[in-house]
Parts: sequence; C-alpha cells; structure tokens
Amino acid sequence: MPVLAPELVEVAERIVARYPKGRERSAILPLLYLAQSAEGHVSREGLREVAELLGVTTAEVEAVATFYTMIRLRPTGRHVVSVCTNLACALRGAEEVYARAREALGPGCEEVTEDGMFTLREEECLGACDAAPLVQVNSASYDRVTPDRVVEMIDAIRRGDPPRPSRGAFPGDFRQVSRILAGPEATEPAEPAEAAEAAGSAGAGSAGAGQ
Amino acid sequence: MTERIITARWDEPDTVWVDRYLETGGYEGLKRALSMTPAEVIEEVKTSGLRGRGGAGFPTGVKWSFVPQDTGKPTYLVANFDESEPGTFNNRELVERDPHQFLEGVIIASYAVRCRTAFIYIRGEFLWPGQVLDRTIAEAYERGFLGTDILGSGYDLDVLLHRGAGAYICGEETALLESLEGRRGQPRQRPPFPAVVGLYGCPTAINNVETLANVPHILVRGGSWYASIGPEKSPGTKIFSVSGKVNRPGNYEVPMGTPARVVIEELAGGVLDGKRLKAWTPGGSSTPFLTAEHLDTPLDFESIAAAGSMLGTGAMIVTDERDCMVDATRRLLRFYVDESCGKCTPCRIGTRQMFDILQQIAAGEGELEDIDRLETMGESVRETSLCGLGQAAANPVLSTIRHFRSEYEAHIIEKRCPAHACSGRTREARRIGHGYPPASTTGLSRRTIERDLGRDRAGLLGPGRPPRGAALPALRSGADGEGTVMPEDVSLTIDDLEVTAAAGATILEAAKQAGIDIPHLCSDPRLAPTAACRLCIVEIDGDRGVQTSCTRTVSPGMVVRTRTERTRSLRRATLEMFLSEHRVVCPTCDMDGECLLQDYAYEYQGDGTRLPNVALPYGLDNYTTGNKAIEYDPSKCVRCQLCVRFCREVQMAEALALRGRGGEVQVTTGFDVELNRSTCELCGGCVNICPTGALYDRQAKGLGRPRDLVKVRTTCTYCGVGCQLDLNVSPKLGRIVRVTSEPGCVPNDGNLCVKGKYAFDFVHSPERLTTPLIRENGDLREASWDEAIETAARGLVAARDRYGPDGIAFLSSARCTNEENYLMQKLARMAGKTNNVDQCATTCHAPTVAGLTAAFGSGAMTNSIGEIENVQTLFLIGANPTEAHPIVGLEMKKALRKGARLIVCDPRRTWMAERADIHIQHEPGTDNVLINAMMNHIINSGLHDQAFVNERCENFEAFRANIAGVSVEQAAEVCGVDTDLIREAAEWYATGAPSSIFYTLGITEHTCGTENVQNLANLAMLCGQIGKESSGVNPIRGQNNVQGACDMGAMASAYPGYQEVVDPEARVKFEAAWGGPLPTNTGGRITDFIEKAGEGVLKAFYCLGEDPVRSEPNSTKVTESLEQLEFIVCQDIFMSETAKLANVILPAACFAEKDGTFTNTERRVQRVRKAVEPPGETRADWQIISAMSTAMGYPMAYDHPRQIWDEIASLAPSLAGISYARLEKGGLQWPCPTPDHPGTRFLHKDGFTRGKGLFHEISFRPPAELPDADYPMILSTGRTLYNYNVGNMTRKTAVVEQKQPENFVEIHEDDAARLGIRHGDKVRVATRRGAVTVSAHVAGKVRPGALWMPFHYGESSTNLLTNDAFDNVTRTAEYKVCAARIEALRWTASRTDGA
Repeated sequence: MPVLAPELVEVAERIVARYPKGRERSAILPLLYLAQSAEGHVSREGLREVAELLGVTTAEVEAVATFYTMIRLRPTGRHVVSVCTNLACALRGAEEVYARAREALGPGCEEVTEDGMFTLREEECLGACDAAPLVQVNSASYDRVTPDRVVEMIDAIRRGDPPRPSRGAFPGDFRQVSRILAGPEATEPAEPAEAAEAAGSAGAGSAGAGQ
Repeated sequence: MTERIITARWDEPDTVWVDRYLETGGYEGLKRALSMTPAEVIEEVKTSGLRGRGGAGFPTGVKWSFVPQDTGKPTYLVANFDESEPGTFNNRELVERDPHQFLEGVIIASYAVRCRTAFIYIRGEFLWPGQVLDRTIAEAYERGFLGTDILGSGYDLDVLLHRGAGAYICGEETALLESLEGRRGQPRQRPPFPAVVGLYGCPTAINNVETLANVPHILVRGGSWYASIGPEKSPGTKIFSVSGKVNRPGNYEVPMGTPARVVIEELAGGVLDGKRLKAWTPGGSSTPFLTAEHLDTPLDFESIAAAGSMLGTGAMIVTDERDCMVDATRRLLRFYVDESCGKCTPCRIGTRQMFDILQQIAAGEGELEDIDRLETMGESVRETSLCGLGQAAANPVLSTIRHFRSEYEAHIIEKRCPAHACSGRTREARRIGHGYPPASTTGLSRRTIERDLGRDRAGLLGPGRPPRGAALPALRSGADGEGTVMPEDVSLTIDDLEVTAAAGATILEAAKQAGIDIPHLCSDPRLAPTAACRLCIVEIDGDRGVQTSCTRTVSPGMVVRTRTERTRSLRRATLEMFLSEHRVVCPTCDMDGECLLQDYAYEYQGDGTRLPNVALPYGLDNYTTGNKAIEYDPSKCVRCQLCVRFCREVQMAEALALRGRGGEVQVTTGFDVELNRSTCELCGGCVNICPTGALYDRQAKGLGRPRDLVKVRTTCTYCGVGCQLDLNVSPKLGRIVRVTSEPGCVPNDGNLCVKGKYAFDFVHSPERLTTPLIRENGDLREASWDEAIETAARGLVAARDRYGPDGIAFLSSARCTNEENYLMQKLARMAGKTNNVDQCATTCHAPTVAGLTAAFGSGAMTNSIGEIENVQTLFLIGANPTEAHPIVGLEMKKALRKGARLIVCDPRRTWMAERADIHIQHEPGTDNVLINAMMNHIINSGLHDQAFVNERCENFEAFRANIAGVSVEQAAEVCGVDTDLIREAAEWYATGAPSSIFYTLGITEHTCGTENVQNLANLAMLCGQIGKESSGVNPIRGQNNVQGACDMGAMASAYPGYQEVVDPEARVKFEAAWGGPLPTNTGGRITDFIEKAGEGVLKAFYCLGEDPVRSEPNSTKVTESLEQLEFIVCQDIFMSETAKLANVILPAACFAEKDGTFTNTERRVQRVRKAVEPPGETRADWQIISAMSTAMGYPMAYDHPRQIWDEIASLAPSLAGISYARLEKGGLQWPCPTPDHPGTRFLHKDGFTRGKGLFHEISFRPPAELPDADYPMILSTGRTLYNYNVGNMTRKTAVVEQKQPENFVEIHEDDAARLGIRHGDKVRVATRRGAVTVSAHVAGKVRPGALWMPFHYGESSTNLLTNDAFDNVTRTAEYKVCAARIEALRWTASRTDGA
C-alpha cells in the first residue's frame, strides 16, 4: 500500500504545479506535509514516494526532511502539544507549564503516549511572546496558559472536546493539520459561514496595539 | 503622539475582509502605484527613507533598485514571514489583523521590481496566519488585485504562499531562498546578494512583512510625508513588541526615535509587580542586552547602535530583578544550539560549546576561566560565523558578561544564584525535535535504488541551465576559435605584495597564485565555494569585519591582509572548535602528515584540549560499513561537506547527503543505506577530497601513512581517457596500497572513476602468470625463459617457412605501451615477413579510423577533452560516456552545468539520456536513416554552412542528391521516434555555437560501421561544426592505448604514423630504417585471422595481451577456428581463455611494472612509469618481444623504452617533436612535429588533413540479422562502469567484484511482465549461435523488444551469442545488433521436469 493513495498523488501533482516549471523541487516541504497527513509522521516509504514524485534521490529528501522539525520522522501522537519555553515564555512560568503537561501525559510522552494520543514537545519561540506562556496543540495557539490550564486542555482533548484556540477554530488532529500545511490544494474549501466565524476571531487574544 | 499607520486598522476586526479593507482606503496605494512606472514607485519609496524592518535596516527603495532588469531571467519578490526570533511577534499580528495591507505591499513591491511570481514564505508554526493569508490571497484574486491584467494595468502577478517547517534559520534571507528551492535551509555566503543572484539564481527582492505593510501608505500619502515622521535617518513608525516582565505585553507602534522608557513604562505599563527592570533587548534575543541605564535611549537604528546594541526587529524582552541573567543567557543559547544549521564551524561548534559552559556555570560547577573562554569564543563566533545566527548567539553571552559579570562570578565563586532563579536544572541541549530514524543497514528496497539510479536530477544542473528551446548565451571563446579570451587583469595588494589576478578570481586564488597560502578546509577549485569552514578569513582595508577569501572576488586597488593578529587569533579559535569535534588520534591515523586540519592546527598552535571533545564515538555503523572500497569514520569528520558537494556537483551522483542539523549533522546515503546500494559510483572522489582522513580507502588502512608511501605518477590502464594517477606504493610491502590523483592534472583534474581508483589489486593477484609455460603432451609445464623463447620462435618461424608469411599472424595489444606495439609490428613485418598484424581496434574503432581518414584524412578525435566543457550543444550518438569513459562524462557534466544543451541518440536510457534535452531512442542499427533525415532537414531549412562547404569540402552535390529523398517522417518511422525530436535535434546541432559530436561503439560496431562514421563526418562538415575549438567529430576510444596501437602501425595497412604500406615511398623509408625488405602483400585483421584459421590457411598465431576467444563475436566458432592452428604463442598477465589453447605462454609485466607511453583518445602521449617489481619471472613485453624477434632471426636490442620511443619519433613525423624528456612535464598531443611544437589541441583548423573534406554518399542499410519469430528480440552488448573489456583485470579486484559480481541482461519492464520475468530471476538468453544463463535486470532502460548485456563475464560469456557479421570495410563485427530470445529459467526447468 503506498503512503500516498491515488487521490493524494493527484493533490501532490496540483501542489507541484504551483511552482515555476523546472522548479518542482520547491514543493518538497508541502509534499512532506502531505505524506505526514497520510501517516501521522513520514516513514521511509513516504520519503521515497516524495522523492519519486519530485524526481530527486531519496537521500536528498531525507536530507531535507531531517532539517525541519515540523516533519516528524518517528511515530507521533494524534495530537502534538507544544509548550514554548523560550525566554519570553520562560519568564512567565512556561517551565512549570511544561512540567505539568509532562506529568499529566505520563511516561514516554516526549515520543508518544502509550495510548497513541499525544506527543509533547518543548518548543522554541512560537511568535506570540505577548501571550506567554504559549501552548500550541497541532499548531493552534493557546495564549497565557497556566499550569492548571494545560492539564485541563489535555483532559478536554482526551474527552474529544478540544478547547477553542485563541485564534481561529480548532483545526483538527496532527494529521489534519499536516494536510492544511500542505497548502490550499490539499484541503476542501471551507464553508463560508465557518470561514467567517473563524475569521472573526482574528482580533482575539493579543493585548492590542498602541494607546 | 503621532498617529498609528500600519496598526491603524487593528481596532476594527472586520478589515480582515476585503470589502471593509476597501472602505478604509485599501488598495488605493496599489492603484497609485499602477499609474506610475516601476522606477517611479521605487523613487517614491526611496524618498520615504523606509528602512527594512527585518533587522538589518537596509533602505527598501535602494534594495529594489539593485534588482537588475536586463539579465534575461525572471525577477522574484519574496516576502519574509518566517518570524521566529525569540521576542518578535509583530509580523504575525500584522497579518492576522490586517492581511490585505500586507498583501497590497507585496503587490506594489512586486510591481516595482517587475516580478511576475511573488512568494510569501511563512513559518510552518503559523497555522492560523497561514489560513488567514490563504483566504486573503483568494479574495485578492477574486477582486482582480492578483492574476492577469491587475486593475486593467496590463500587469500580471501570482502570489504563492509557501510554508516552512520549523527552522529558525530560514528567516535568514539566503537560507530562506535555499528552503524555498526545496533544500536544507543553509545560508549562502554573500555576495552575491539575492538582489542579483537570488531565488533560482534569478534577481530577487526580499522584504520583511512590516516593511511591506508600510508600502501602501507611502504610495497613498507620498514618500515625503513618511520621511517627515521620526528621525531623519530612521524615518517612519516602528512596531515595538514588548514581552517578558511587563504589565501589558503587546505590539506598540510609535515613531522611530521614541525613548525606550516610553514604550516600556508607559505603553507596556511598566515592570510587573512594581519590580525594578534589570535588562531588556531592543531587538529580540539576537541583540545585546541593555540595562535600566539605557532606558532613555531613543529607539532608532543609530541611537541603539551607539548604546552598544542593535534595533533588530524591535522586540523588547524585559527581565526584572528577580531574574538570573546567567540562566536567561543559558536559555537563549539552547535555542541557538537547536537552530544552528550546522554549515559553518563557529556556529555549529561554538554555540554548543558556549551552551555547555553556561550549563556548568548555572549548575555551580563553573570556573573563573570559563568567563574568558565564553568571551573568546563569543567573539570568534560573532566575527567569523557565516550568517547572523552565529552572531546572534554570541550577543546575549557577551552582553550579559559585560553588564552582569558579577552574576557570573557569584555562580562560580560563591556557587549560588544571586537571583535564586537557577534551580540547578541543567538539561542537555535537546536533540532536534523529530529525532532521526535509527541508523540501519537494511535500507531501501532494490526498486527504490533502481529508481534513484535512473532519476532525472534536472535540478542538479543548477540555475545556469536554460530551459529547452531558450536562446543560448554567447560563448566566451575567441572569434577565431583559438583560445579563450581572458578577462582583464586586476591589480591588488595582498600582504604588501603587488599581485595581478584575473578579474573574477577570488582572493584565495589570487593569493595562491602569488605564493601566499591562506588556510582553508572546505574550498576546492572544482566546487562552487560555500565558505563553511571560516578559516580563509582575511581583512580588507575599508571593510568592516573579516571576509572569506574563497568567496570574495578581487577588485582593483584592493588591499588585503591575510596574516594579521586578528585573523590569526580568530583562525586559532576556529581550529580549536574543529579539533573539539574531531577524534584527535594523529599517531594512528592513516592521514597523519597529509591532513590539512593537522597542518593548520600545528601552524596556528591550536590547542586540542582547550575545549571539551564532542566528537562522535569511534566505530559507529554507517553507510560504508561492509564496503570494500570506502571507509567513513564519523568520529574524524569535521562536517566540511566537501564529500557531499563533490558527489553532487562534480560526480553528480547525489549519493551522499547531509542528515540533521546543527552539531548533529552527519553524512549519509539516505537512511545509511550501504554505499553499494545507493547511487554511489565508487569514484572515490569523496575520499580524495576529504581533508582529514574521515574518509579513507579501506584497503589501504594501516598499510602506510603518506610519508611511508612513494607516489608514482603514471597513466591509467583502463579506457582511452588516459587519466593521470599516482600509484601509492609501500616500499616495505613492495606493493601498491592505494591510488590517488592530483587536482590540476590533465586530462582528469584529480578525478578518477572506480576502475582507476579501486581496480588496481589485480596487479598483486595470486593468479598472475609468473613463469613461462610450454605445452607438452597436452599439458602446460613450467619452463625457463630461454627454452620458452626458443620454442615459441621456432614454432612461428617453422610455420612461416612452411606455409609462407600468410600462414602466420600477430595480434598486438591496445593495452600495451606504444613502444611495445611498435616492436610487435616491427617484429611481424621484419621477423615474420608479413603484414598480418592487428590489434583490438578492429574489434571496436577500426571504422573510425577508416571512415574519418576517408572524410578528413585523419582518423583521430578532432578535439581535446578539455574543450568539452565549453561545448554548447553536445550531440551524443551511440556513446555512454558516464560508464565507458567516466572522466569524459565528468567534462560533459561540467558543460551541462555551464548551460550546454544535450542531445542523446541512443537506444538505451543512459545517464546522459535521462538528462538530455532531447533523447532520440531509436531502434538499434538505424543511425544512418536518422542522420540522413537530419541533414536533409538542415539543408531544407537553410541551416547548413554553405560557405564552409564551398571552401573546405568536396563532393557536396552528389551527397546532397543522395539524401534529398530522406524525409524526417520516413526516418521517424524506421527509427521509431517522434518527427519533432529529429527536427529539433537537427536544428539545435546546426545552430549550436559550438556543437560537437561524440560517439563510440554504438556507431562503429555495425555492419555499416564505417558508413555510420562517414555520415557523422558529413553532418559535421555540412554544418561547419568542425575544425574549431570545442567543435568537431569525437570518437572516444575504448582501450587505454588503442589510439597508440594504431599510431604505432600495429595494423595491416599502415606503418607507424599512418604511413601506408601500399605507398612505395613509405615502404622504402621503413626498409631503410629497419634494414631489410618489407612484405608487399596486404595483411589481414583479427577477424580475418580467425576465419583463415578456421579455413586452415593460417597456421600459427602470436597473441599479445588480448583474449579473442572472449572478445570476438560468436565465441564458439572462434574457439573452433583457433583450435585448428598448429601453433599459438600467448603473452599475457593472466591465463586467458585464448592462452588455454596456446603452445607457449609468456608471462608479462603489467602497466605498473614497466616504463613506456600510452596515447589517449585525444592523441595525448603520456608516460607510463614503473612503480613496483614484476612478480616472479615475468618480464616487460618490450623485453619479451625483443627476445622473440632476436630468436626469430631479426635482432632487437633495447635497454630502455626511451630508445624505442626515439626510434618511433624519428620515423613518424607527427610524433617527431615528442621525447621522454618533454613528457616528464606532462603529456603532448600529436601532431607535434618539432621539439618546440606545443602539440595540437584540435585538428583541421585551417584545412583538413587530406586537403578538402570529402562528403560520402551513404544510404541506410539494415543490420545483418533482424528479429524473427524464433528470435524476436534485438540483443546489443556493451560495457558497464565497473568492468573493463573481458574482465581479465577488473574481475580480479575486490571492489568491483563486490559491486558487480555477475553477468546480467537488461530487459524492458513490459517485456519482462509479458514473459513472467522478475528482477533478479535467472534467465536464458539464446541466439542462433549459443545460449547463456544470466540474471535479469528489469528496468525501463532498454526499449521494448530490446535486450542489452555486458561482455565482461567469462563464466557466462556474452560473445557466445553475438553475430560474426562484419563491417564491409574494416571487418568489425556487429556487436550491437543480433536476433535473440529470452526465457525465464524456472519455466524452462518446470517444462523439462514435466517432459
């Protein structure tokens, strides 16, 4: 069974077609996201199929894939919880948030929890230092998360009731998010109402500008 | 307070939608821009004084004006939305809250630089902003702000959102471009700047999100308005992003120059909990910390710089009195350790070493010297790192030591944290988040490798290569075709020395030329510079900081200093970092004494113990585990990447790649799949280029350090390229232990193929013949030399005397030296009294000699190997250079990288065919109809060179009439290819400037071989593509000295120097020189010998260094014929199949055991030098032939091959100027008529050797044996990269036997599926002449209906199958076409069982 089913190969071809002719290799990251959306991480077979689609060697695809941390090459939980502990978040107590999340998720969570539900990552700056400490679940951001709050969030996800992110709607699990990251060619167009609702939340979260 | 500009809409969430955006003045800036010219837009932005908000602060309008519009390439705009700097978050909010404002800026900027495709590079973690932008871009298309004819202006633009995937370094603009091109985000050294050489090698403007958000406002309200805001040098507003210990973290837009106190204390509400501010960054984690003392500093580029920091991105991280600055620094360093790309040494090692020290200090385990070490290392990392990341990593370290030294000292002396913040938690630096799959040798499936091997790696050809059909740039060669026009010279000063260098040369090159050695570990003239090792730094007067001399080109009046105190101490610091990632074991290292790292460490007295050693442990399994050729020791690897770059750029095998990043970078084949299962071609280039001994020739391990070995420069014994190589001999062992080659040598520039590099151990094979053997009562027995020579001579003389001179024949050897070939033909003619002398040219390139001599008057390759790189249209037909002549293949790869077009006519999908612009995959044996159609099309299109034809050629009209009826359609039908391809190939060849034809045995080994050659000569003459630099007809000769063997007259028709035996004058000349009568009858060729032997006419045969039983077609018949002979003498290094039939066997020395010369395919005479003693009683061939001749009654006495050469030079005018003394300095190309003649690079410059070039009338004739019902397939034969000829030498070498141990047949996957054959199955291939059992290689390499086999394997000899039908002129066999059948063996077996 190929990683990229025929339907995904079509998507891949559409993604490749976005780039200028002769520059198809530019599509390597989107295609890796696409392979990741199919498997929950990118296996060797996934790398090989990406290489095949782009006409480069597998070694070259591995070289690229191992450079970028959002391409996961080992089995990964259904949800990836990332806690930023870089300086701005650390100053606001992020290390405690991380420690509590680790405790709540249990042993092995930095790889994948026993139930396959979670992978916990200590993340570098995620670009929302005003909202420190910041936590992302599958790249959706949660602002000013306290140690208690991160435990609540994890419980809610376990229950199948993920909390609403600070901006936008909950985008889905790690696979679904990988598919979004593969680009608009890989996703179904959003319903207008849903999109409007999501858009409306753009203003939430940040402390606001100016005086 | 002044109004907010780019955050003005933030209070109104609805402006994220295009309608509301338009209501608030949106896209008015674009409308105004489109009413202006691009140049006017740039002027307006220049007037505004807007400076880049991404950190560097470069004026935006000026940057745009640097984007050239006259390069013929597209221009690009890239918006850098990879906001990842700790502390920054304004780009994100700008896009989330007002995305159209940003997009409008993108469109205006794109218009200004006339870009048609713009990219927004967004960091992958920004999921929501990306979704916002996707929607925004879609809206813009809907409303006509993007797409074609934007707002009716005629301007077209596409914007593409490209997501990163978690690599901070991609915010660095050159790393961003690499990433966008689909590569690892490793920064490029600047210059060249992206404005000139950017995305895909095209001019590219790169701007930050905040910068672009300002642009619409500047267009609406005018540059002067903008310039009036804030300080004169830093006009406008700026968003300051405040985070950390403040009451109201957030983005605040204020005019530049606003005091920091206002932002922190007023806007952000002051320090949390009323505490005292301790430190703050003005521009994110990469800028030096400032303190409370600096709170009144105005926030603009100049004022912040004056305070000792940088404005950067305006990200202010605030700490208070409760925070520990040592711990804060440690935390920031961990980020840089994780995010270092690993390319340059200071950043890769320095960040990690600094982090480790900070860990120790924070844990109360530091020493006072650690502070000094941090300062020294920090300065070195800041000064020498390739990009801003390294500089950024040093800033927090150096600035916190400066402002908070007492905190460091408290941790070290009092072992306490003054802020009580360090919990003692000292975590290791994280490994890169996703982790790597564990190294394994199980690797990928065979099919993966097959696919990888047959991959179109078009991307590798680089940005310089024009797409198919594009106009070609002018060649940089002189108009007269002679020599290359040198660019003007530049005068500069290096270390107080006046130096002249060619314009465009790097400082490193100029210094080297002037005898000034600048240390460098990652530079090689064959590779594009990458400036990774940071050792070649120099100071240039007037430049800030140090510069890498490998990338910086010379300019007039430049003053360079290479050995200042500063450069020396920085180099020492870098070397100490290198030593810390290298397992320093010099006493037991094979490269001890020839290791650049060791040399420089000594020169700079770098102390390997100053930093803790972080090298990988010894003995880790890796991609070379188990490989017989190459050993990689990651513990010695210093990540210079030379091996990866060589594999990718020069060899273009793409077998090696880098894995991981930062300090974890490793070289791999991809999952560490074993080398022999990767795309590696075992050229050993990675080993030769490795500066430290991390890569080494496995067989040489422990057999000698460079100082223990003697290097003997000689000429390779494999193939006609004639590579110069150095046999590294251990005097202690008396044997060759490894082979190397020096960059700069001609023709191979230090490059070798697997055979030259690794197939040398046959020399010391226990299977060598070491004693003369005589057949007695059917068995061979050892004999003395005297007895063997006596017996051999007597047998030949007896046959001659009994049956006449036509009863004996002599086969000379294209593997032997010129001197030996000369003696062999002299022996045949004088002692044997016969012209029955030949060598393997008949088997391969005799049609070349005959055909080209008929057309031009000379049968040799017209151009030089060194001219190939400047060919603009390569026309390959029936040639597979990457396998058969790998170093010629490398030159062609170089031409491709320089932008050459490639046309390949070949029935097989070879490496070159896969990368060809046009691949004509015609049916085997249909070359002439193809060439005729091309020529007819060229004439009909008026693309031929009538002037050249008129002046330089004859018989044109008859030729033209002959092909007038051959249409492209007809050829397409016969050849089985598209008409368009034939037309386009013809047009490209005719108009290429210059074009050059390359062919080998795919042309000659046909029953129409000579006609094929003559027709290629026709094509060249028709288009005037001959007699010029880089333009001609180039047969690439097969065996190492087949050119020389022909030159020496080891053929029936000519004496040395192509003086014909039928020419009475020539005969008289040689009779006088050799002192006796010469035969007047014409002799035969090897194929005649076999036939005559079978007929009982030929009775005795003296065979030197060949194995006709294996090499001639239809082996069964060959054996039967040779068995008819009464007497056979074989002289060889191994027991060959032919030798098994011999009456006397004479053991000979091989190439490494004797002196002499070989002549390579480009007519270059080169020395062969003795490196080791021959084994046992073996003697050099020239000695044996002399003894034989003497015993046969024609005395020969030579002390040294030099004397033989002098005799040759006195008799062959084209070689008269060549002497051993001259050859000591390097090879010489004939014609070289006088001792002061420099040799001839290309032939037929002012006239053809024969006077006028002769057009031949050639008509298509099909091959002798075509497929039918019984034998429905076409079988072709050829050679592979790994083996040579019938394999007598290569098959006795460990590396080749490991790589390619058995014979195989290639079959198309469709045929295989139809016949139920799977890859690797044993199959039976049969023709009317025989059958063999081999493995099937199923792939798309051959055409459906075709089979292909190599002929290297004695145990399943392919020549049992081939057809002994011959070229009508030269009697060369049709190896390339015969009818065959293939069947899966398991079916055959079951059928037999059932019967």
